[in-house]
Amino acid sequence: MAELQYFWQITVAGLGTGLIYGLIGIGFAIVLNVSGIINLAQGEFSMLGAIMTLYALQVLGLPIFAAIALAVTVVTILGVAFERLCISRLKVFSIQTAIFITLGASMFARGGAMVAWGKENHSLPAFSGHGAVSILGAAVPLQVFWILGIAAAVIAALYWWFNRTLFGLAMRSCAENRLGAEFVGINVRLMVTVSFAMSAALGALAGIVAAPLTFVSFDGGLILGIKGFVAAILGGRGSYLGPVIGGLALGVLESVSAGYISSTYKDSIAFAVLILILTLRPNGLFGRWAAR
Amino acid sequence: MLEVEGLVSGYGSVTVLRGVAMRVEPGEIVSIVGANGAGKSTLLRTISGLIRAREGRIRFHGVDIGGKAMHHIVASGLVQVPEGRQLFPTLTVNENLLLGAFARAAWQSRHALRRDLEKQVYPIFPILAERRDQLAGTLSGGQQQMLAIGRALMARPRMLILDEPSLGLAPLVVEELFSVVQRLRNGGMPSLLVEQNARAAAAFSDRVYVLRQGTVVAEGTGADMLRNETLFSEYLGTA
Repeated sequence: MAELQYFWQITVAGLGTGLIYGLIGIGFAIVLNVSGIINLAQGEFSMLGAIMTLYALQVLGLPIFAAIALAVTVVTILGVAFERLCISRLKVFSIQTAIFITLGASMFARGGAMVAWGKENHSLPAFSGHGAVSILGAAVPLQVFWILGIAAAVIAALYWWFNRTLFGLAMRSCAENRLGAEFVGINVRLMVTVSFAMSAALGALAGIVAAPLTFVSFDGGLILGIKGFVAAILGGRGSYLGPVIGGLALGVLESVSAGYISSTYKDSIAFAVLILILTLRPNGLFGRWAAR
Repeated sequence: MLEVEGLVSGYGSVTVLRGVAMRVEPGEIVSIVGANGAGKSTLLRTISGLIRAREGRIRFHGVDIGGKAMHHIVASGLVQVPEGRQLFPTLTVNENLLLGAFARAAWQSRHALRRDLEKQVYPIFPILAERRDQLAGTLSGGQQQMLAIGRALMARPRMLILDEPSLGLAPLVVEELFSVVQRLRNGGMPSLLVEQNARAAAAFSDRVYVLRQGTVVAEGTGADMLRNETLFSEYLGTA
């Protein structure tokens, strides 16, 4: 019985972090689907979101939700500025060049954050205290309910956006057939900018809501970004909400391997999963598209 | 309505069009015919803004549209049904059609656009109404071409451009499509089309331009062209 209890506790913990991976994964998927670019700076949106919230909280003295709103807004603006100033200015656009630019941007953001906020770890207070609730014997931190609520709201909003609005449909059409979208009169470049805005906002939100469970540091975005990427790959190409399932699977897998083997290996397990999936199921678990 | 003057265009260092002049008047169906590589598709792509002209002017309703972005050109009412249709295969027929309205109605509710579908597209292509919830990729070639035309109509174009609409389709389907284009013309919407099948194009067009090596070498009414046997054998190689 204690065994089962232990497993349940581990699983619940994994679901919490898994949702975060899922949110970051959706951010990846939106940019990837619309523009074809793998945004290697995706994790930095999360890091910047968390650090800026901390800054607004401690230095500007804003209340927590005002600080979050400010941080998400600033990161969204940074995401748009990055796309407008770096990606869409490319004289000769190529996906490869764009990906290298995002790599440069991620290093730049990490370095900038280190200079501005230092190398030490900071901690962001949980939104409603550090208490926990017991669910079937597993202690679930209150922050996890915030993660759950925000993830649910984001998923519902995105579902509505991509399935019920013409603008969201147009973003999907860019992913499917860029040339076709141009012929229909869709401003594909605008859609790419919008996709960066959305994924920056999502990434920031995910980083902020996750921060109280871990800590905030200038290089925290790197590993979050990679986990989000694995979630997106697991979720499958062309899928917008698949990364949530991918993220949950990864979160639980990590948590279980940390709980039964060793937490030292939990990151290697994420990469092993990435390699396995790319080898065996290149379209992910739920990918609708054929590899091309 | 549409006037092209001294158009020079191409890809990279390759010049395909070397000074093309042509026009489409209201109430006309105009065809551009020519052998492979004559520059037909390049002409259409330049007009619709996919490639930028190096020289020359393109005017639509008196407005210079040369060098404008594609979405501006579509919004101004010049809509192309591209070669190979360029549909969105994993979206439904309905979604493909709704996207056609994007340039004029990005923020309109999908409900309002459904009414446009019922009025503007389904009466012309009833088969699309039957298949509305099917994925576009599962339609037959002819139905896909109808969908591509229907999608263009959702933009409420003032003029339609069709690039090789008959490619790979059965003769009966081609006839049906051509009759739709004629009905649209009679309703006031002119068309400019490029056709590989010069005889069929000449037979149903009001005017025909013959393109060869990037210049217009002949122009006349469809009937003229059909009578002129040497033209076909000499310029088109389809005696």
